[in-house]
Amino acid sequence: MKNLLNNLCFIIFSALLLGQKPPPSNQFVPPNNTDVNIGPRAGTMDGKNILTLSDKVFNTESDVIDFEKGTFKWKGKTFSIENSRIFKARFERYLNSPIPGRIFEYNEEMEEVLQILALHKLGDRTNSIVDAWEKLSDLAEYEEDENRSLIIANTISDVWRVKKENRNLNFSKEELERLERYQQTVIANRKSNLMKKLERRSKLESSGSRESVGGSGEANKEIIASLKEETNQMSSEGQFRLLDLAKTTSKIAGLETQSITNALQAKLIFQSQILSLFMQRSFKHCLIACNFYRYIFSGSAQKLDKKILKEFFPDSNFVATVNSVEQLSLDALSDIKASMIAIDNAYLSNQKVTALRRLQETFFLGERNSLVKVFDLEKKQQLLQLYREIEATQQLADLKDYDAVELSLGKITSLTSDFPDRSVLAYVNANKRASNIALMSAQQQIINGEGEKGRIYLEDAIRFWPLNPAVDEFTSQMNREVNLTFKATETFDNLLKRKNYREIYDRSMEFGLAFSQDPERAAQLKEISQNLLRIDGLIVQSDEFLAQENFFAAWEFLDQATNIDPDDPLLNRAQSKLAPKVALYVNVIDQAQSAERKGFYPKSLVKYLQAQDQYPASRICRIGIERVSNALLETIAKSSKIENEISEIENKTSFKDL
Amino acid sequence: MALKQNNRRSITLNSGILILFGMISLAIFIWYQNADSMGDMDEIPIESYLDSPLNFVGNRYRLTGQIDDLIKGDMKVGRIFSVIPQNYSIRIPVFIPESLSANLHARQRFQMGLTVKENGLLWIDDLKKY
Repeated sequence: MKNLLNNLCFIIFSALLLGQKPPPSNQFVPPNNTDVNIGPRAGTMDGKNILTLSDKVFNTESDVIDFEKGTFKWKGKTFSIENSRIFKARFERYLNSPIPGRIFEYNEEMEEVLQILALHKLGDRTNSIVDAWEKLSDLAEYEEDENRSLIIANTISDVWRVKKENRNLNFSKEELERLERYQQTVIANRKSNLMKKLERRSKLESSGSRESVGGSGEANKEIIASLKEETNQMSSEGQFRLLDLAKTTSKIAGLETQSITNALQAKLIFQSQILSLFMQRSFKHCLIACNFYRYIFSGSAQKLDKKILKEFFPDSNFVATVNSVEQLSLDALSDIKASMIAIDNAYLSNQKVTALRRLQETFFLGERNSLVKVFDLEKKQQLLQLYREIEATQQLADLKDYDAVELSLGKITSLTSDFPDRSVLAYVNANKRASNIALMSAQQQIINGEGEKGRIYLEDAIRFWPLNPAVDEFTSQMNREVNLTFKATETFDNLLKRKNYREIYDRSMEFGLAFSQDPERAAQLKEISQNLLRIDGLIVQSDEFLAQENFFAAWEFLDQATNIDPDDPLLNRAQSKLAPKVALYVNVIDQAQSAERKGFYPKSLVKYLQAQDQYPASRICRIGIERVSNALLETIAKSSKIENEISEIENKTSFKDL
Repeated sequence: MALKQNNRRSITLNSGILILFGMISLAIFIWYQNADSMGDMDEIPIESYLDSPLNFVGNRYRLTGQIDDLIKGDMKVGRIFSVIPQNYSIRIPVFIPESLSANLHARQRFQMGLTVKENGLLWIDDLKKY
């Protein structure tokens, strides 16, 4: 554009200086009928396979909705869908809207306009273009049209007005050109006369010098003076005439410039309108505008202006023509039609999620298309219900309200068969389980007196499932217990003094919370808890063997527990329950242990062997025999050593006596 | 001639007596060798010992039974075995000092001479397979 204007300025300047017309190669040719022909023909794509071109230039693999950016990509072109919230609202409104009352009538009329333009294409160029233009006003009366047809009609009117203006300018220019030719003739005549008079004056001046000797010199002088005055006048007049000619030439160039500017502006406005309709996804209107453009502007003006293209396609180096935009519009309409068929099929096969997803994508592309608008209201309402349920589920999942998510999933699966509820349930269950495990770990850590670790696990449990009811219960309990810290400390000390470890263990949760900042008591609590845990474990194992009627083995586990805390009431109760079954065995073991304590190792060994005979797998006997036999051998070794020493002393004494 | 005959009779008689004495001596030797050295010992009263081992301290007894298993051993001191007394199914521990230098294996049967040492320990003094 800038280059073109520069060129025009240069041409006008040259014409003013040289009094010549611009070179024919850049000459502006006024339009005939409705055609406005501007610029060279270079770079047009007429006659090429536009479909191949569009697929080659655009990336067709990126059709996708981007809610974050509020864009929809189709054939590599990104359409603005404003922000996702507004567009979602529009989509929901669409799903809830009935079919517009006059949509079918409107659609028929639009098809009629396209049909007229198609006939025009076949050669009936006289009246059809005007008929189609008049139909645009009718289309604009429909609410569904949103006045786009009127805008196209006005744009066409503007172009025709420009054309009319240019025709008037052309008449003025022709008048000026006639004047210019007259002025050029006059100047040429004046110049011829002037030259003749100058020639005569020159001759007289040369002959006058010779005749002055003969006496006729005075008469020549008068003639020469007269010619001189005439040539001077003619020269002055010629200069004025040249100036008039230059002015006329300048006026002609100005008219040409104005004509070109008007035409160029009209073309750019029309191109902007075409691209604007395309970007608004009003593809049928775009088709109508393309058809009008093609017939209003000649084939050499089909290439779209680069600056306008950059405004609409900032990221593309696509060299578009009207034909290519038209082809893209046709592709879009074809896509919409195919998508709506697919949506209907998916809906009928109860794959409503697929139908909803496809409808959403198709809506973004074909929001203003009649095929999208006439989609059945009942189906749309079903899809809207599903849409809202999915959205609600998504929000609940974001809030990690997994119980509510499970309920919503039940509703969704009752509506459609293709919702991936299993993966959602797996996600929900995994988070629930993780939360419960973390909560259990928190409880255990607090029981063990590890308050800080317990807090970290509790945070994990909340992070996985903030609405976990067990977390609420746990935290409530914690709060109650923390408030009773002082009382707990006092109680703990009393229980410890009375060696009532079992009660301490039973209230370990309370004490664990209370002693999170008391490492000494926390350590005591931890030891007691661990001991009682071991005792409980041994009692459980003992009960298992008791159930199998393996009384000796059961007793052995209780005996191990006795080593931890012989006064534990639960242990004593278990022992009392088992004692009658193993009385003899226990009696022998007791005798063995009693003898061992007294240092009567042989007797102890005898009793251990005796007990082992009753229960060969006895752990107590095996360890007791091992321990006592060692002690016995040590005793014998010591005794032998002493005896040897005594006998040596006796020998020495006897030797001395001898 | 008669003197010669008397000398011959006397030599024959002496030889006979000598042979008889030798045979008797051999018989006595054999009998002595085969005689039960623990024959005069009492068999240890198992039940009483099991009830109160300390009641038998200082006594010597004979124990007839089968080696059950080695409980514990010390190369310098001796070994403690469990023995199953004859006609019993129980086990009692015995100590066999290293000085006895006996080759003992499980399930061997022995007649054992023993002394009940302090604390009721059955100290084996003598061993004899049977």
